[in-house]
Amino acid sequence: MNTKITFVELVDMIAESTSTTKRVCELFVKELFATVSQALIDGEQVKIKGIGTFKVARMKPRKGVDVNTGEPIQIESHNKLTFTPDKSLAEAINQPFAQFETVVLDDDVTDEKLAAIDEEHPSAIPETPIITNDIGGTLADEFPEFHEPLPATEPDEFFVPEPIGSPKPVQEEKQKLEPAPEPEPEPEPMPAKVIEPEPVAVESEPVKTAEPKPVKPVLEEPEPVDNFYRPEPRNVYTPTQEQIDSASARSKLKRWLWALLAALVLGILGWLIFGGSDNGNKQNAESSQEVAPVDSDATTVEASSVITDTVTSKIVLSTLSDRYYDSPWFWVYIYEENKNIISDPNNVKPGTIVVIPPAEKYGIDANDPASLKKAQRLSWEILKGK
Amino acid sequence: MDNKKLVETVASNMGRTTQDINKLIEAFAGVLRTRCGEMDSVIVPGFGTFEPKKRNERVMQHPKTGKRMLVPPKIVLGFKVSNVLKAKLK
Repeated sequence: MNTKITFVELVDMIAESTSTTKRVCELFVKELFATVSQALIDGEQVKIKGIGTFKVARMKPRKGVDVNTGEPIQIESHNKLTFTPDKSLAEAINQPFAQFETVVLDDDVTDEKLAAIDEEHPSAIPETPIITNDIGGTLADEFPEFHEPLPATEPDEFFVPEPIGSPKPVQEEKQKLEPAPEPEPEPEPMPAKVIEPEPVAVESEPVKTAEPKPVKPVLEEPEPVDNFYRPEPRNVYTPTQEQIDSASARSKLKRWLWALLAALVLGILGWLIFGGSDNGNKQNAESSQEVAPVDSDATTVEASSVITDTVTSKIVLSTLSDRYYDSPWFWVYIYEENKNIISDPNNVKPGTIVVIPPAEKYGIDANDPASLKKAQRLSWEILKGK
Repeated sequence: MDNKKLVETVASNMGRTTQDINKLIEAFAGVLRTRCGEMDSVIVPGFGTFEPKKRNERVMQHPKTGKRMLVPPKIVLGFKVSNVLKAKLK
Protein backbone atom coordinates (compact mmCIF):
# COMPACT_ATOMS: atom_id res chain seq x y z
CA MET A 1 0.00 0.00 0.00
CA ASN A 2 1.68 3.12 -1.28
CA THR A 3 5.09 1.60 -0.75
CA LYS A 4 7.92 1.79 -3.20
CA ILE A 5 9.27 -1.44 -4.57
CA THR A 6 12.98 -1.29 -5.01
CA PHE A 7 15.05 -2.98 -7.64
CA VAL A 8 16.05 -5.81 -5.32
CA GLU A 9 12.46 -6.57 -4.38
CA LEU A 10 11.43 -6.41 -8.01
CA VAL A 11 14.12 -8.91 -8.98
CA ASP A 12 13.07 -11.19 -6.12
CA MET A 13 9.49 -11.18 -7.27
CA ILE A 14 10.34 -11.92 -10.88
CA ALA A 15 12.69 -14.72 -9.83
CA GLU A 16 10.01 -16.24 -7.68
CA SER A 17 7.32 -16.24 -10.33
CA THR A 18 9.57 -17.59 -13.10
CA SER A 19 11.58 -19.92 -10.85
CA THR A 20 14.86 -18.69 -12.27
CA THR A 21 17.85 -17.41 -10.37
CA LYS A 22 17.95 -13.87 -9.06
CA ARG A 23 21.09 -13.26 -10.99
CA VAL A 24 19.42 -14.01 -14.31
CA CYS A 25 16.48 -11.82 -13.42
CA GLU A 26 18.68 -8.96 -12.35
CA LEU A 27 20.60 -9.16 -15.60
CA PHE A 28 17.37 -9.37 -17.52
CA VAL A 29 15.78 -6.27 -16.00
CA LYS A 30 18.98 -4.28 -16.52
CA GLU A 31 19.37 -5.53 -20.07
CA LEU A 32 15.73 -4.97 -20.95
CA PHE A 33 15.67 -1.37 -19.85
CA ALA A 34 19.12 -0.63 -21.22
CA THR A 35 17.84 -1.81 -24.61
CA VAL A 36 14.66 0.22 -24.26
CA SER A 37 16.60 3.29 -23.19
CA GLN A 38 18.98 2.97 -26.11
CA ALA A 39 16.13 2.61 -28.57
CA LEU A 40 14.42 5.65 -27.06
CA ILE A 41 17.61 7.68 -27.27
CA ASP A 42 17.79 6.69 -30.90
CA GLY A 43 14.39 8.26 -31.30
CA GLU A 44 12.48 5.03 -31.59
CA GLN A 45 9.19 4.12 -30.02
CA VAL A 46 9.28 0.93 -27.98
CA LYS A 47 6.41 -1.39 -27.35
CA ILE A 48 6.64 -4.10 -24.71
CA LYS A 49 3.93 -6.71 -24.73
CA GLY A 50 1.86 -6.75 -21.59
CA ILE A 51 3.42 -3.56 -20.27
CA GLY A 52 2.90 -0.73 -22.71
CA THR A 53 4.42 1.71 -25.11
CA PHE A 54 7.23 4.16 -24.45
CA LYS A 55 7.39 7.11 -26.78
CA VAL A 56 9.55 10.18 -26.98
CA ALA A 57 7.75 13.38 -27.86
CA ARG A 58 9.37 16.62 -28.78
CA MET A 59 8.00 19.49 -26.73
CA LYS A 60 7.94 22.90 -28.33
CA PRO A 61 9.43 25.87 -26.50
CA ARG A 62 6.82 27.65 -24.45
CA LYS A 63 6.41 30.29 -21.83
CA GLY A 64 5.94 29.42 -18.23
CA VAL A 65 6.42 30.80 -14.76
CA ASP A 66 9.04 29.96 -12.23
CA VAL A 67 7.13 28.08 -9.57
CA ASN A 68 9.22 29.62 -6.80
CA THR A 69 9.50 33.24 -7.85
CA GLY A 70 6.49 33.54 -10.12
CA GLU A 71 8.64 35.18 -12.79
CA PRO A 72 7.83 34.39 -16.37
CA ILE A 73 10.46 32.14 -17.90
CA GLN A 74 11.01 30.53 -21.24
CA ILE A 75 10.82 26.75 -21.26
CA GLU A 76 13.05 25.47 -24.02
CA SER A 77 12.11 22.70 -26.36
CA HIS A 78 12.94 19.31 -24.95
CA ASN A 79 12.18 15.64 -25.33
CA LYS A 80 9.60 14.09 -23.13
CA LEU A 81 9.14 10.41 -22.51
CA THR A 82 5.56 9.29 -22.40
CA PHE A 83 4.28 5.92 -21.34
CA THR A 84 0.97 4.40 -22.34
CA PRO A 85 0.14 1.26 -20.40
CA ASP A 86 -0.97 -1.82 -22.29
CA LYS A 87 -4.72 -2.26 -22.28
CA SER A 88 -4.59 -5.45 -20.21
CA LEU A 89 -2.29 -3.83 -17.65
CA ALA A 90 -4.40 -0.67 -17.45
CA GLU A 91 -7.52 -2.73 -16.90
CA ALA A 92 -5.88 -4.84 -14.24
CA ILE A 93 -4.83 -1.74 -12.36
CA ASN A 94 -8.18 -0.02 -12.69
CA GLN A 95 -9.89 -3.18 -11.52
CA PRO A 96 -11.39 -1.65 -8.35
CA PHE A 97 -13.24 0.91 -10.48
CA ALA A 98 -13.94 -1.34 -13.42
CA GLN A 99 -17.68 -1.42 -12.83
CA PHE A 100 -18.12 2.29 -13.59
CA GLU A 101 -19.07 3.77 -16.89
CA THR A 102 -19.24 7.32 -18.07
CA VAL A 103 -22.79 8.54 -17.92
CA VAL A 104 -24.37 11.31 -19.94
CA LEU A 105 -26.25 13.74 -17.77
CA ASP A 106 -29.39 15.33 -19.09
CA ASP A 107 -28.73 19.01 -19.52
CA ASP A 108 -32.39 19.91 -19.21
CA VAL A 109 -32.39 18.97 -15.56
CA THR A 110 -34.26 21.52 -13.49
CA ASP A 111 -35.25 21.75 -9.85
CA GLU A 112 -38.91 21.30 -10.77
CA LYS A 113 -38.14 18.00 -12.40
CA LEU A 114 -36.26 16.84 -9.35
CA ALA A 115 -39.19 17.83 -7.18
CA ALA A 116 -41.54 15.92 -9.47
CA ILE A 117 -39.45 12.81 -9.02
CA ASP A 118 -39.57 13.24 -5.28
CA GLU A 119 -43.35 13.37 -5.35
CA GLU A 120 -43.58 10.27 -7.44
CA HIS A 121 -41.58 8.44 -4.85
CA PRO A 122 -42.79 9.43 -1.43
CA SER A 123 -40.57 6.77 0.03
CA ALA A 124 -37.65 8.92 -0.97
CA ILE A 125 -37.45 11.06 2.08
CA PRO A 126 -36.01 14.53 1.68
CA GLU A 127 -32.40 14.42 2.63
CA THR A 128 -31.69 17.45 4.72
CA PRO A 129 -34.22 17.19 7.55
CA ILE A 130 -33.42 13.53 8.06
CA ILE A 131 -29.77 14.18 8.29
CA THR A 132 -30.08 16.90 10.87
CA ASN A 133 -32.35 14.72 12.98
CA ASP A 134 -30.14 11.72 12.85
CA ILE A 135 -26.68 13.07 13.02
CA GLY A 136 -26.65 16.27 14.97
CA GLY A 137 -30.33 16.53 15.97
CA THR A 138 -30.20 19.12 18.70
CA LEU A 139 -31.86 17.62 21.70
CA ALA A 140 -33.70 20.83 22.38
CA ASP A 141 -35.69 20.09 19.25
CA GLU A 142 -36.44 16.61 20.44
CA PHE A 143 -37.60 17.58 23.86
CA PRO A 144 -41.03 18.98 23.09
CA GLU A 145 -41.82 15.80 21.23
CA PHE A 146 -40.91 13.65 24.17
CA HIS A 147 -42.77 15.69 26.70
CA GLU A 148 -45.95 16.27 24.81
CA PRO A 149 -47.30 12.74 25.09
CA LEU A 150 -46.42 12.70 28.78
CA PRO A 151 -49.47 14.42 30.27
CA ALA A 152 -51.77 12.44 28.02
CA THR A 153 -50.52 9.03 29.00
CA GLU A 154 -49.52 9.59 32.56
CA PRO A 155 -52.93 9.86 34.21
CA ASP A 156 -53.73 6.29 33.13
CA GLU A 157 -50.39 5.31 34.43
CA PHE A 158 -50.80 6.25 38.01
CA PHE A 159 -54.53 6.06 38.35
CA VAL A 160 -54.55 2.49 37.29
CA PRO A 161 -51.74 1.13 39.39
CA GLU A 162 -52.82 2.98 42.54
CA PRO A 163 -55.74 0.79 43.48
CA ILE A 164 -53.77 -2.28 42.59
CA GLY A 165 -51.04 -1.11 44.83
CA SER A 166 -48.14 -1.84 42.59
CA PRO A 167 -46.36 1.50 43.09
CA LYS A 168 -46.58 1.10 46.85
CA PRO A 169 -43.66 -1.30 47.19
CA VAL A 170 -41.70 1.07 45.11
CA GLN A 171 -42.47 3.90 47.40
CA GLU A 172 -41.60 1.81 50.40
CA GLU A 173 -38.35 0.91 48.83
CA LYS A 174 -37.71 4.49 48.20
CA GLN A 175 -38.31 5.33 51.79
CA LYS A 176 -35.99 2.63 52.89
CA LEU A 177 -33.33 3.65 50.53
CA GLU A 178 -33.65 7.33 50.86
CA PRO A 179 -35.21 9.48 53.54
CA ALA A 180 -34.94 12.54 51.36
CA PRO A 181 -37.95 11.94 49.08
CA GLU A 182 -40.26 12.21 52.06
CA PRO A 183 -40.11 15.94 52.57
CA GLU A 184 -39.74 16.64 48.94
CA PRO A 185 -43.40 16.67 47.87
CA GLU A 186 -44.67 18.50 50.98
CA PRO A 187 -43.12 21.88 50.49
CA GLU A 188 -44.11 24.05 47.57
CA PRO A 189 -42.80 22.97 44.20
CA MET A 190 -40.16 25.68 44.31
CA PRO A 191 -38.07 24.14 47.10
CA ALA A 192 -38.71 20.75 45.59
CA LYS A 193 -36.78 21.85 42.60
CA VAL A 194 -33.89 22.80 44.77
CA ILE A 195 -33.83 19.63 46.80
CA GLU A 196 -34.45 17.19 44.05
CA PRO A 197 -31.36 17.20 41.84
CA GLU A 198 -29.11 15.57 44.41
CA PRO A 199 -31.36 12.71 45.49
CA VAL A 200 -32.26 12.05 41.88
CA ALA A 201 -28.71 11.37 40.98
CA VAL A 202 -28.32 8.78 43.72
CA GLU A 203 -31.77 7.38 43.70
CA SER A 204 -32.83 6.88 40.17
CA GLU A 205 -30.61 3.90 39.62
CA PRO A 206 -32.21 1.63 42.21
CA VAL A 207 -35.60 2.82 41.06
CA LYS A 208 -34.79 1.77 37.56
CA THR A 209 -34.33 -1.77 38.72
CA ALA A 210 -37.29 -1.62 41.08
CA GLU A 211 -39.94 -0.65 38.54
CA PRO A 212 -38.79 -1.37 35.07
CA LYS A 213 -42.17 -2.57 33.90
CA PRO A 214 -44.37 0.48 34.28
CA VAL A 215 -41.71 2.72 32.83
CA LYS A 216 -40.92 0.92 29.61
CA PRO A 217 -44.41 0.60 28.15
CA VAL A 218 -45.07 4.27 28.76
CA LEU A 219 -42.04 5.23 26.84
CA GLU A 220 -42.68 2.96 23.95
CA GLU A 221 -46.37 3.52 23.58
CA PRO A 222 -46.56 7.26 22.99
CA GLU A 223 -44.49 7.12 19.84
CA PRO A 224 -41.90 4.91 18.26
CA VAL A 225 -38.92 6.94 19.35
CA ASP A 226 -35.70 6.92 17.41
CA ASN A 227 -33.46 4.06 18.45
CA PHE A 228 -30.66 6.37 19.34
CA TYR A 229 -32.59 8.32 21.86
CA ARG A 230 -34.21 5.51 23.73
CA PRO A 231 -31.56 5.20 26.40
CA GLU A 232 -31.72 8.86 27.27
CA PRO A 233 -35.44 9.24 27.75
CA ARG A 234 -35.33 6.39 30.24
CA ASN A 235 -32.91 8.25 32.34
CA VAL A 236 -35.02 11.33 32.06
CA TYR A 237 -38.31 9.82 32.97
CA THR A 238 -37.45 7.64 35.88
CA PRO A 239 -37.09 10.57 38.24
CA THR A 240 -40.15 12.16 36.67
CA GLN A 241 -42.28 9.13 37.28
CA GLU A 242 -41.33 8.62 40.84
CA GLN A 243 -41.87 12.22 41.68
CA ILE A 244 -45.28 12.22 40.14
CA ASP A 245 -46.13 8.97 41.86
CA SER A 246 -45.58 10.48 45.27
CA ALA A 247 -47.49 13.56 44.26
CA SER A 248 -50.47 11.55 43.10
CA ALA A 249 -50.63 9.84 46.46
CA ARG A 250 -51.85 13.14 47.80
CA SER A 251 -54.05 13.54 44.73
CA LYS A 252 -54.17 17.28 44.60
CA LEU A 253 -54.60 18.48 41.13
CA LYS A 254 -53.03 21.85 41.62
CA ARG A 255 -49.97 20.49 43.31
CA TRP A 256 -49.98 17.89 40.68
CA LEU A 257 -49.66 20.31 37.86
CA TRP A 258 -46.92 22.11 39.69
CA ALA A 259 -45.15 18.87 40.28
CA LEU A 260 -45.46 18.04 36.64
CA LEU A 261 -43.88 21.33 35.75
CA ALA A 262 -41.16 20.75 38.28
CA ALA A 263 -40.74 17.26 36.93
CA LEU A 264 -40.20 18.60 33.47
CA VAL A 265 -37.54 20.94 34.74
CA LEU A 266 -36.04 18.16 36.82
CA GLY A 267 -36.20 15.82 33.90
CA ILE A 268 -34.14 18.22 31.85
CA LEU A 269 -31.77 18.80 34.74
CA GLY A 270 -31.53 15.09 35.41
CA TRP A 271 -30.89 14.43 31.79
CA LEU A 272 -28.18 17.02 31.73
CA ILE A 273 -26.54 15.45 34.75
CA PHE A 274 -26.93 11.96 33.43
CA GLY A 275 -26.05 12.83 29.90
CA GLY A 276 -22.72 14.06 31.15
CA SER A 277 -22.06 11.31 33.67
CA ASP A 278 -23.36 8.44 31.59
CA ASN A 279 -20.02 7.74 29.99
CA GLY A 280 -18.33 7.87 33.33
CA ASN A 281 -20.86 5.44 34.74
CA LYS A 282 -19.99 2.88 32.13
CA GLN A 283 -16.53 2.66 33.49
CA ASN A 284 -17.59 2.69 37.11
CA ALA A 285 -17.75 -0.86 38.36
CA GLU A 286 -20.04 0.00 41.24
CA SER A 287 -22.89 1.35 39.18
CA SER A 288 -22.35 -1.04 36.33
CA GLN A 289 -24.98 -3.46 37.60
CA GLU A 290 -27.76 -0.94 37.43
CA VAL A 291 -26.61 0.71 34.27
CA ALA A 292 -25.73 -2.47 32.46
CA PRO A 293 -29.19 -3.42 31.20
CA VAL A 294 -29.75 0.02 29.74
CA ASP A 295 -26.35 0.15 28.13
CA SER A 296 -26.52 -3.29 26.61
CA ASP A 297 -29.93 -2.41 25.24
CA ALA A 298 -28.52 0.62 23.57
CA THR A 299 -25.59 -1.17 22.01
CA THR A 300 -27.64 -4.05 20.68
CA VAL A 301 -30.14 -1.67 19.17
CA GLU A 302 -27.39 0.28 17.49
CA ALA A 303 -25.53 -2.78 16.31
CA SER A 304 -28.57 -4.31 14.70
CA SER A 305 -29.79 -1.20 12.91
CA VAL A 306 -26.58 0.56 11.91
CA ILE A 307 -24.29 -0.96 9.32
CA THR A 308 -20.82 0.44 9.10
CA ASP A 309 -17.92 -0.25 6.81
CA THR A 310 -14.39 0.93 6.39
CA VAL A 311 -13.05 2.94 3.50
CA THR A 312 -9.65 1.89 2.23
CA SER A 313 -7.55 3.03 -0.67
CA LYS A 314 -9.27 0.50 -2.90
CA ILE A 315 -12.70 0.51 -1.34
CA VAL A 316 -14.24 3.94 -1.79
CA LEU A 317 -17.77 5.24 -1.34
CA SER A 318 -18.84 4.02 -4.75
CA THR A 319 -17.46 0.57 -4.09
CA LEU A 320 -19.42 0.41 -0.86
CA SER A 321 -22.51 1.64 -2.64
CA ASP A 322 -22.11 -1.08 -5.22
CA ARG A 323 -21.69 -3.63 -2.47
CA TYR A 324 -24.73 -2.63 -0.43
CA TYR A 325 -27.14 -1.19 -2.98
CA ASP A 326 -26.05 -2.96 -6.18
CA SER A 327 -25.21 0.27 -7.92
CA PRO A 328 -22.20 2.55 -7.50
CA TRP A 329 -24.36 5.63 -7.97
CA PHE A 330 -25.81 5.57 -4.51
CA TRP A 331 -22.54 6.65 -2.96
CA VAL A 332 -24.12 10.08 -2.66
CA TYR A 333 -26.34 8.82 0.13
CA ILE A 334 -23.47 7.27 2.01
CA TYR A 335 -21.80 10.64 1.69
CA GLU A 336 -24.91 12.46 2.90
CA GLU A 337 -25.10 10.12 5.87
CA ASN A 338 -21.48 10.72 6.80
CA LYS A 339 -21.14 14.35 5.81
CA ASN A 340 -19.82 15.23 9.24
CA ILE A 341 -16.76 12.98 8.90
CA ILE A 342 -16.17 13.21 5.16
CA SER A 343 -15.06 16.54 3.84
CA ASP A 344 -14.34 15.53 0.26
CA PRO A 345 -16.21 12.52 -1.14
CA ASN A 346 -13.49 12.04 -3.72
CA ASN A 347 -10.83 11.86 -1.08
CA VAL A 348 -12.00 9.85 1.86
CA LYS A 349 -9.20 8.99 4.22
CA PRO A 350 -8.44 5.27 4.16
CA GLY A 351 -9.56 3.74 7.44
CA THR A 352 -12.58 6.00 7.80
CA ILE A 353 -15.51 4.06 9.19
CA VAL A 354 -18.69 5.17 7.50
CA VAL A 355 -22.31 4.45 8.34
CA ILE A 356 -24.24 2.72 5.60
CA PRO A 357 -27.80 4.05 5.73
CA PRO A 358 -30.65 1.58 5.23
CA ALA A 359 -31.81 1.56 1.61
CA GLU A 360 -35.37 2.59 2.50
CA LYS A 361 -34.20 5.76 4.12
CA TYR A 362 -33.35 7.46 0.84
CA GLY A 363 -35.54 5.35 -1.38
CA ILE A 364 -32.57 3.54 -2.80
CA ASP A 365 -33.51 1.02 -5.43
CA ALA A 366 -31.01 -0.07 -8.05
CA ASN A 367 -33.80 -1.42 -10.25
CA ASP A 368 -35.71 1.83 -10.26
CA PRO A 369 -34.45 4.15 -13.00
CA ALA A 370 -35.96 7.20 -11.29
CA SER A 371 -34.10 6.45 -8.09
CA LEU A 372 -30.88 5.94 -10.03
CA LYS A 373 -31.35 9.15 -11.94
CA LYS A 374 -31.97 11.06 -8.76
CA ALA A 375 -28.75 9.74 -7.28
CA GLN A 376 -26.87 10.68 -10.42
CA ARG A 377 -28.21 14.18 -10.34
CA LEU A 378 -27.40 14.49 -6.70
CA SER A 379 -23.88 13.28 -7.29
CA TRP A 380 -23.54 15.82 -10.05
CA GLU A 381 -24.73 18.55 -7.71
CA ILE A 382 -22.24 17.48 -5.08
CA LEU A 383 -19.35 17.37 -7.49
CA LYS A 384 -20.32 20.68 -9.02
CA GLY A 385 -20.21 22.26 -5.58
CA LYS A 386 -16.61 21.17 -5.08
CA MET B 1 11.13 -1.02 -32.02
CA ASP B 2 8.32 -3.49 -31.62
CA ASN B 3 7.99 -6.22 -29.09
CA LYS B 4 9.47 -8.93 -31.30
CA LYS B 5 12.60 -7.00 -32.12
CA LEU B 6 13.06 -5.98 -28.52
CA VAL B 7 12.81 -9.57 -27.31
CA GLU B 8 15.29 -10.71 -29.93
CA THR B 9 17.78 -7.99 -29.04
CA VAL B 10 17.58 -8.74 -25.32
CA ALA B 11 17.79 -12.49 -25.98
CA SER B 12 20.91 -12.20 -28.09
CA ASN B 13 22.55 -9.80 -25.61
CA MET B 14 21.89 -12.19 -22.75
CA GLY B 15 22.57 -15.36 -24.70
CA ARG B 16 19.17 -16.82 -23.96
CA THR B 17 16.21 -17.95 -25.98
CA THR B 18 13.36 -15.61 -26.89
CA GLN B 19 10.97 -17.88 -25.01
CA ASP B 20 12.92 -17.27 -21.82
CA ILE B 21 12.83 -13.54 -22.37
CA ASN B 22 9.12 -13.62 -23.15
CA LYS B 23 8.54 -15.48 -19.91
CA LEU B 24 10.56 -12.94 -17.96
CA ILE B 25 8.72 -10.02 -19.55
CA GLU B 26 5.43 -11.66 -18.69
CA ALA B 27 6.64 -12.07 -15.10
CA PHE B 28 7.62 -8.41 -14.95
CA ALA B 29 4.21 -7.40 -16.27
CA GLY B 30 2.70 -9.66 -13.62
CA VAL B 31 4.59 -7.85 -10.90
CA LEU B 32 3.38 -4.50 -12.24
CA ARG B 33 -0.17 -5.80 -12.37
CA THR B 34 -0.29 -7.09 -8.83
CA ARG B 35 1.82 -4.50 -7.08
CA CYS B 36 0.59 -1.41 -8.90
CA GLY B 37 -2.92 -2.80 -8.45
CA GLU B 38 -2.22 -2.46 -4.75
CA MET B 39 -1.14 1.16 -5.23
CA ASP B 40 2.54 0.39 -4.81
CA SER B 41 5.02 1.95 -7.18
CA VAL B 42 7.75 -0.05 -8.87
CA ILE B 43 11.13 1.56 -9.31
CA VAL B 44 13.49 0.63 -12.12
CA PRO B 45 16.80 2.35 -11.41
CA GLY B 46 18.15 4.41 -14.28
CA PHE B 47 14.88 4.19 -16.14
CA GLY B 48 11.95 5.42 -14.12
CA THR B 49 9.13 4.65 -11.76
CA PHE B 50 5.80 3.02 -12.51
CA GLU B 51 3.28 4.53 -10.16
CA PRO B 52 -0.47 4.13 -10.07
CA LYS B 53 -2.50 7.27 -9.54
CA LYS B 54 -6.11 7.71 -8.65
CA ARG B 55 -8.07 10.05 -10.85
CA ASN B 56 -11.13 11.56 -9.24
CA GLU B 57 -14.62 11.44 -10.53
CA ARG B 58 -15.49 14.57 -12.48
CA VAL B 59 -18.06 16.17 -14.69
CA MET B 60 -16.85 16.94 -18.19
CA GLN B 61 -18.49 18.45 -21.20
CA HIS B 62 -18.38 16.69 -24.51
CA PRO B 63 -16.54 19.11 -26.81
CA LYS B 64 -18.75 18.37 -29.79
CA THR B 65 -22.20 17.64 -28.48
CA GLY B 66 -21.90 19.87 -25.42
CA LYS B 67 -23.44 17.17 -23.28
CA ARG B 68 -22.36 16.95 -19.69
CA MET B 69 -20.93 13.66 -18.71
CA LEU B 70 -20.03 12.17 -15.41
CA VAL B 71 -16.66 10.50 -15.72
CA PRO B 72 -16.12 7.83 -13.07
CA PRO B 73 -13.03 7.70 -10.87
CA LYS B 74 -10.23 5.47 -12.03
CA ILE B 75 -6.72 4.37 -11.27
CA VAL B 76 -4.19 4.91 -14.03
CA LEU B 77 -0.65 3.65 -14.24
CA GLY B 78 1.67 6.60 -14.54
CA PHE B 79 5.31 6.59 -15.39
CA LYS B 80 7.90 9.02 -14.15
CA VAL B 81 11.18 9.17 -16.03
CA SER B 82 14.32 8.95 -13.98
CA ASN B 83 16.56 11.96 -14.11
CA VAL B 84 19.35 9.91 -15.68
CA LEU B 85 17.28 8.94 -18.69
CA LYS B 86 15.69 12.38 -18.87
CA ALA B 87 19.11 13.97 -19.21
CA LYS B 88 20.11 11.44 -21.86
CA LEU B 89 16.99 12.11 -23.88
CA LYS B 90 17.39 15.83 -23.82
